[in-house]
Amino acid sequence: MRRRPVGYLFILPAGLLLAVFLYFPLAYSFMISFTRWDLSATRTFIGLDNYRAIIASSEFWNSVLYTFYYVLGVLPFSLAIGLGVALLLRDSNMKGVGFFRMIYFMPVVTSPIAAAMGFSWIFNTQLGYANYVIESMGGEPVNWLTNYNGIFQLLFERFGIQLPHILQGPSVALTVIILLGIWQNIGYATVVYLAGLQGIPQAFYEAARIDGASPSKILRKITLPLLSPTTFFLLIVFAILSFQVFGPVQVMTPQGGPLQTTSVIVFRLYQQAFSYYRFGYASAMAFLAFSMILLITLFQMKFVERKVYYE
Amino acid sequence: MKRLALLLVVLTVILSSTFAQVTLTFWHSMGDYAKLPLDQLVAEFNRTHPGIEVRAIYQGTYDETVTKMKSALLVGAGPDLAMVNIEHIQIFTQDNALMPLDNLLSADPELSPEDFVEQFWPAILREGIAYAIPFNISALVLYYNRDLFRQAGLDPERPPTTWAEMEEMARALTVVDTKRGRTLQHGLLWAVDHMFYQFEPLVWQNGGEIFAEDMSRCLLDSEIGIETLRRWAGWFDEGLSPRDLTVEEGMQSFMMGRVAMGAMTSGGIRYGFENLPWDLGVAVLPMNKEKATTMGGGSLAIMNHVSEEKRDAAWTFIKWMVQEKNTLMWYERTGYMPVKKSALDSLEIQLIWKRFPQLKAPIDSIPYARPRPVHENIIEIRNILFNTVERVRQGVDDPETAFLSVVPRVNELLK
Repeated sequence: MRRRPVGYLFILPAGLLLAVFLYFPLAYSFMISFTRWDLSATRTFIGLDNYRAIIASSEFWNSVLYTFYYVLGVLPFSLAIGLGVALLLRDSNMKGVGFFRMIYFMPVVTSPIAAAMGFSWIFNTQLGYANYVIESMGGEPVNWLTNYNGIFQLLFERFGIQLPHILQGPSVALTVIILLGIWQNIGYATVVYLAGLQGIPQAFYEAARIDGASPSKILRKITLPLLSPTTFFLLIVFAILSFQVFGPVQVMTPQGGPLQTTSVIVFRLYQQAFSYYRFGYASAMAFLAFSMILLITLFQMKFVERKVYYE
Repeated sequence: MKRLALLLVVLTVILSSTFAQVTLTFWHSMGDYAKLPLDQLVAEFNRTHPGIEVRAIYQGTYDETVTKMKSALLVGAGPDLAMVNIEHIQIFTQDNALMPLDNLLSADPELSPEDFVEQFWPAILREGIAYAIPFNISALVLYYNRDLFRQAGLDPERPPTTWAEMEEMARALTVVDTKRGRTLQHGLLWAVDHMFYQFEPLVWQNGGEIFAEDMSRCLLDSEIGIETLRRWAGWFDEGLSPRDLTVEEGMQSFMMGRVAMGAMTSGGIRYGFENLPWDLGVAVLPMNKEKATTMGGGSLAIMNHVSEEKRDAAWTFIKWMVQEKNTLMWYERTGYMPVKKSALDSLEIQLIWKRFPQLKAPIDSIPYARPRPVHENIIEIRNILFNTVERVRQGVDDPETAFLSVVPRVNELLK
């Protein structure tokens, strides 16, 4: 194939946009991550000091822990529930299937900020619907957004067991934010799984049924393996997106949650940049976070992808 | 014919330049209920000053405005004048972004520093130079629910004046459902948020200081600092003040009539008066060893890069905004205090108090009002101190040691 210079002209518009709004800012923020800069005219080069300070800060590592809680909380439930809903809605001839598909997809197109506002009202301690339901059934109201205790710790406390810090699990407040994340992801996972299900040839199912395979066996031996590329795709996309969670945290717990237990990485980053005006430090945090996401994705590509079955 | 045309052109140019409008972009942080009176003031100014048009633009909270202004000024854009929180002034003066107003003040016979309430003026000085004019200054005052006072058999005309009285009344105002062990009504709300400003007056009232005068050291690890923390945390331990509510939820509780009193900013008095279904009382903060309250709010500043023409127009606008009549209108409509001495002595203010007796408390607080400590790292320092007192409040840290362990970190940031 001969290279034609005119081809570059075709990619120029998109390339320019990316360059101006993505690659240039990216390079720029990499540069300022080695400086101390408060948005004033002077910028001091300080080498790796920002990176050293971040790695030495316990706040940063706490925020990494909370971010992992979030990712590990959101991922499996989003995938499992999304798959479940897709299996229920796979038959296009079913009555009302379009309506249900729309219902499940609606959270995806809801503005994340509006959804977070809605959730913070539902989980408001005094006026919220969640506590209203609990109280009308005779229960004690829960301090959803002000409880800093880890949920695993709360569970094990009943048996008098004190878990180490890292195993205490997300605080109740962070769990509420995880619920919101799952709720918003389900619709997307459903739609992608539906597309994946459509790609599975009917012949496999017919053959299996003739051989007398049970529905659960069909699910385990045919549907799940043939959906694995879809699952892998969702896994990577959700991991990257959940790692960057910020909006709901900022809306539902604007001060970083009870005892800072909802302060995920991007929240800390935002705080450093836009509350403390430390743009160098915040950029360095961004690059550390980026490296983590990259490592996780590479890990998934290398080890998880082996289990993916490509037709 | 040619001559006539030329004459017309010349005339048009002259005429249009005499009626030329100076357009000023004015950024501010008054959202919600305070935006309407501010817009009305600006509209009135534009109506009475045909040569000047001020465009008031709401830019979000004070903090958001700082970020926006910093980035805009960096590329030479941004407003011509802005409302700057008095605590944020040095964030801009260290970049020479604000115009020093001393020359304008000394050249103008109509306005001098002596015209302003003397507690307010130092708040806008940095190294002795005025960089802004006080405009919307608030103080922390005690809001209380007069209906709940009556129900508890307390005299709503006699709000607490000391901590001891406040604790005693809070006990009488706290209602517990003993069967279920649940508090139905809290007597007090003394929440502290990440701005830390609700904690500051407590230390001062207790006879202590938060920082050394030259801002070189944090003094909260003193005996007084620790005692203040212990006493404050006690209000939560005893169940007088709600422990499990966020600051916002606490305010909601107060508005719903489930909390009897609390320390809040005077800027919302008028809003509260109009929107609360029960009888609102406002009082000066109770004292302990001393009387003190925290002063906050905004001021009007001119950007350093504007042309002379715009500078003069902006100055005219600022002078007009703090005129006795306008500063009183602003006070009556919001609860931010009038900034001119003459306004405090006016007959008009007496009439306002007749209409809204609640508005008197912030004025009575003025003699004890202190500006908040400022430093280039103050936002982070406050956040650290907020997290420290929050851990004590939740019972995770010990009040005896909490400040001792955090003060070295704060001192590091003060260097």
